[in-house]
Amino acid sequence: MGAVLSVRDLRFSYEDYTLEADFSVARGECLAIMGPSGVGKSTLFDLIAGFLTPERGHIEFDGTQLVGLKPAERPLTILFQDHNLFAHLNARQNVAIGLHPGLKLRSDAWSQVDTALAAVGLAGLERRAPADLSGGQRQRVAIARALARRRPLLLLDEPFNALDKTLRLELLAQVRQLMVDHRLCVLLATHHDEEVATLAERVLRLNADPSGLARADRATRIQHAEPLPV
Amino acid sequence: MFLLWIAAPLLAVIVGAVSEVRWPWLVDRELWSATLGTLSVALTAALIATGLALPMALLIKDLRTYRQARLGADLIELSGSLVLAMPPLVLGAGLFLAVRGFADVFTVGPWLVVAVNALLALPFALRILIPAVRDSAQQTDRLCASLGLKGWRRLRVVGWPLLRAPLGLTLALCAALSTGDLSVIALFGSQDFNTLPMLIYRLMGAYRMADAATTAVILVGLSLLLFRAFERGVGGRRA
Repeated sequence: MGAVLSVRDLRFSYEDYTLEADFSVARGECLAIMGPSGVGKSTLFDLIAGFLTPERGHIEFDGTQLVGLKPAERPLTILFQDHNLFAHLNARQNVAIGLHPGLKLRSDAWSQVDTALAAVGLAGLERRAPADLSGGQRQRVAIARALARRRPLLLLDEPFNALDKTLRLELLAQVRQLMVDHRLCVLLATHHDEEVATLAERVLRLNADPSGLARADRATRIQHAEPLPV
Repeated sequence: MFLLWIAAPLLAVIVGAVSEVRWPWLVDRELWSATLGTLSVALTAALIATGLALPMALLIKDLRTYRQARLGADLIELSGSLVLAMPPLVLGAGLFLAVRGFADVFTVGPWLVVAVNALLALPFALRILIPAVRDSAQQTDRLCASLGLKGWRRLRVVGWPLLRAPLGLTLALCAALSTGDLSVIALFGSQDFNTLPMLIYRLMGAYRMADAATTAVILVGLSLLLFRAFERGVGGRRA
């Protein structure tokens, strides 16, 4: 199985923090990124999503170089820990804005929006504002948008952290179904083993280097992925 | 106790105005020209203050994203608030002296009054808009970038709906502040250009207490009217 997302020799520094990454993910595969909070999981996602620019290195998807492309031009959808929805738009509009940023959709696109909302179990709640939805329902709307956008790479930056365990695993099972159905390439940042077990094939550990002078350098090296015990 | 501080003078003014109202005063040209003067000063000053504060808040938000530029952001914020440490009359007197050399003070008078009032309202406008812009950016910047929302479209779909309430409040507050100002108008007011606070001051000086009370009620009414008009009209708040 050839790599579809390939991160090579990636390096990013900010003040005394340095992140280095080198890994790849196949189509239809989920790679979990684990590590203590603050180690740089979100930074890595920001680099892949295009919110940050690396010092050097390549991020390729399907042979296309992503470094230099704007976030919206990259073939991916990212789910953040929070603020995935616009508070002033209802669930339907929040999904639709993923298809057209001006909310000008043709009727078949609107039905695509409704299909996506139904697929995540939100049929009937299309007109609800985010404030009138539960935390789990809000993240479902975000999943529905990812589904409607049909981008082949999905970045999950601990989007279910605020939810209880049962709900978290339920949503991950839903994501797993989407991943299998659409052969998505998924990156999951987490520090829950059971999330990794639910969704991921491999896990990549992100660890801060304990050696070196104090505060001189906090280099974080991602080692090559190790296979998940079966 | 605190309420009494506001209620007592307001009540006195209303009672004074209602019990002793002189009807001819209500149709006096002087009263309505001062009302018009107040209205123009308040509206223009509010628009200028808000028009300055919004781009300043946006610039400050952008600068604070980069650690190296935070000093710049602090300086901009400070420059907008510096006027708080300056008595308005000093500001007016300085402008008076500066302008006197090359322009007729009473021709440019109205504009100077507007300019000083806008400057006086600016710190308050910034206090509202800086956190509002920062919060809305925190909630939407990355989401907008990832969905390709930018420029005019972002303003229409996200910026305006999220910022209209704080913008309405800013305009309302700046207008209300300028409505009641009696500082620079004392330097630049004239027979042809007057505001209600200045008129009240002059009426009281002439012992026309009933007319002063009536004028004060009109001033309060105008201030409230402007406040609500901006808060609802621009801010979209329901009653």
